[in-house]
Amino acid sequence: MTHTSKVSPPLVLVVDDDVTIRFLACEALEYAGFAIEEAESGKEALTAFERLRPSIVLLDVMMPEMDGFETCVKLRQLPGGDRTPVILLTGLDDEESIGRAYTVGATDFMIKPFNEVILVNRMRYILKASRTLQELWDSQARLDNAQRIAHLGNWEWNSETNELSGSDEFYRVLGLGHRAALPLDSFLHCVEPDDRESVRNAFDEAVHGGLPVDLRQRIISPNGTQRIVHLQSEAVVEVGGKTVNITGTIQDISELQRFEEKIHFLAHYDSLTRLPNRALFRDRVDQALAYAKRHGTNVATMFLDLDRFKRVNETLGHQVGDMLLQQVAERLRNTVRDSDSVSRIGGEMGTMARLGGDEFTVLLTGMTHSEHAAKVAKCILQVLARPFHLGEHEVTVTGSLGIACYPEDGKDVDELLKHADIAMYSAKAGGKNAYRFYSRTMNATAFQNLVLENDLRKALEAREFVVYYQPRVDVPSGQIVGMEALLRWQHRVMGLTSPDVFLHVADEAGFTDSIDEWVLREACTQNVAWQAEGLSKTVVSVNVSNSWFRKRDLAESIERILRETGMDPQYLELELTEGIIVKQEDVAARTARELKALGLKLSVDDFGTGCSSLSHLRRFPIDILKIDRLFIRDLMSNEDDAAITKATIAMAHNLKLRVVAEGVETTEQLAFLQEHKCDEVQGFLFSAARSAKEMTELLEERPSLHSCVDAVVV
Amino acid sequence: MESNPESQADSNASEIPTVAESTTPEGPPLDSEVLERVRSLQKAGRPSVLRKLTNLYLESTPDVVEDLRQAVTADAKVTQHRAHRLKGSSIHLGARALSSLCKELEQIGKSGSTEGAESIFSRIEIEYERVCGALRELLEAEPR
Repeated sequence: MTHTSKVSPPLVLVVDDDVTIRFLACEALEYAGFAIEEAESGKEALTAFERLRPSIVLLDVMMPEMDGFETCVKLRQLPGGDRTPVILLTGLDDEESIGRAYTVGATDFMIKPFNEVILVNRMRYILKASRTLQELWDSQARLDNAQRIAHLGNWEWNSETNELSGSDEFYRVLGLGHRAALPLDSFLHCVEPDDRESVRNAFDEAVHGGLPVDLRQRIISPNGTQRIVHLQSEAVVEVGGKTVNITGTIQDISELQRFEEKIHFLAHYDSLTRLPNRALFRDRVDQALAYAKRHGTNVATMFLDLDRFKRVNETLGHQVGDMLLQQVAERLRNTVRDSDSVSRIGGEMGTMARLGGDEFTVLLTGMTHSEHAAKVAKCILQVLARPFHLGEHEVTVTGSLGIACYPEDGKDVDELLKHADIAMYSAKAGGKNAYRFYSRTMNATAFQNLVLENDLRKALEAREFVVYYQPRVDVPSGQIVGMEALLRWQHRVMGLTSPDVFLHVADEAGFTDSIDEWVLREACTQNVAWQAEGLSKTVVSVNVSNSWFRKRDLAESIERILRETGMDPQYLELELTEGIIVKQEDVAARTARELKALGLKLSVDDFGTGCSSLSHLRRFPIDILKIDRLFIRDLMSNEDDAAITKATIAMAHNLKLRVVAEGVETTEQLAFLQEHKCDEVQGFLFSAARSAKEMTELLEERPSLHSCVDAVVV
Repeated sequence: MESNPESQADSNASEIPTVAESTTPEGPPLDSEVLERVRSLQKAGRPSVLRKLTNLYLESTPDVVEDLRQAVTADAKVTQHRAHRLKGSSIHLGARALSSLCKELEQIGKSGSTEGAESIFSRIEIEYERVCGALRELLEAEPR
């Protein structure tokens, strides 16, 4: 570091009341590359110092009013004044002043008259020393800061005094306010009593054996806070093996530990119920199997699924559903723990887990008989059957339980869980609120249906359902006047799946209502969107399953959907099956009237397949009849079908109903229907079912049935 | 960090031998060695350092001498301070004899009396005139 440094030359404040001396000093210093500022009195010097923050001050002692000593004392009290070197200028013969110079805090003194060369060199030397000191201070400050941020302190143990002393952070981590050498016993006193012995031993080994210390321990601050610290050290050993001192670090890792615990918890536990999660459960099963293999013992895995849990979620909301899961977990915990303690003689051990949704698993080890597992299963079903109090609601649920045992039912985790799952589905299929042991006779198709049911449960949430639309065309005008909304399931394995495949499963599992509702909502939303886009105003028809139709609040639900989607009811048509009309005629007729009162249209789907008669139809406020595709298919080859179709059209017109023929695929069929005044047709001849996007394109094209027929004819 | 003040003081003392005894007024009023050192601070192309210093001296010291004249019979403290000031200014231009006389006067003032001060002051006046004369001659010869 030289004075020619490109940054900026060090600034010297020259303070002297004698202008000639100031001039001379300035000339000499300027010549040597310093920057100069002058002050001719002590007072002026203080102002200049605050303003300019010089690197060094050259200060004459003998000045009128405020002399150099007083100036020096005051300057030391200014911000930055304690770290700036101050050189006092004294007379050669003035020993008294030289002595005083140091007591007032001067860095050094110089004799007047000064030799310019010596002056310059002395200034350079002092500046260099001052810079070194400043760097040391800065470095210390950086170290302190780094230690504070890392909650890491360093310390040293002195063998002669048997005391520890350390950095600020060392004392802070210990929760000690003061910085003072700490006798080893006082240090140990900061350590949590249970950990004291191990710390003392570690220190003994370090002192006598020169061994490093590496400990995680708890400490207690004077204010009672507990912290976890990491203590590390190295011994400094003299020749001959005597430990002279030990230097080490202490780091507050409380927060780190909390994070580690949190991460561990998140990775291994279900945060809702605080039960182990799938990963931890698998680990536990693996361990149990390894033990069972060595000792020839049994292991049982249970799969528990709540019956109708989805309904709780839907009717009372997810929050209540979550509360239910928490309470179920709590009951499981108590039950398995109880059965564990009751049968302690048998050495049973239980682990529960939540795999997700309403699926729980239980692992039982150390059983001697499968009856033990059965006993636990019974207990679980019993405690579940008691009502749950969820806020203001009282809810009763049951569970279905499947049990698979090692070694009979599986050799590894996957096999056991799969078979417990199959057994659980079997229990569910058998009427729910039951447990079943896995058996190889549980057949594959039944299982597939159960898998399908499980997939269906998730399909709504996973947004796997989509609505397709098949246009209905007015026969006289050839224009699209309506469309039927058709459910499709975009299954992740099976692909786009039609309801034929899954509707019976959905029906058995009781999902159809919610699926119906969803389709209706979706169809209304889409219809509103099409109308808003200015596409032709068409009626959308939506199928209503028998089970939904029988719901007491059907009209209310539909009204709510109309309101929420902003759908104009005159564009909505609900398709009912013929079966509805036949069964429970009075109730059905009342429901139909309620629906009609909403302002929408009703149609009877698949007409002709049921046993409905004219008299049945009269009692129903319906608008449209849809002739089943079965009759249309063989229209040209089967005279009976042709006759029935003709009669149906005539009869419907008699009742002032519009008639729609479904499954129209050929121009011959169309010609027949046209001849017999069928009002509308639907079928491949005009268009297959289309996605909403494809339907939008079709509506934009505004194609006509006639052009379509011409094209086919040509 | 601290230098050794004593050794520094020693080296200073040996380089600039100050004259404790009164010198004869017949010697040269200015020490040419000191003047040479001042000249050595000169940077090319810049105003003369020696000329500036000389001018400063000639401008600032008459007041100091005038203060001394007032004080020598009346005020020991002012005498001490002003003598110190004149001593300091003079020594840096190599006016050793004048500086020594000032020092004597400063000591008297410091002792708290003005006894003998007047006679020394009259010698100071003579020597001061000699120094100023020599400086003016110097200015004539010194380049601008």
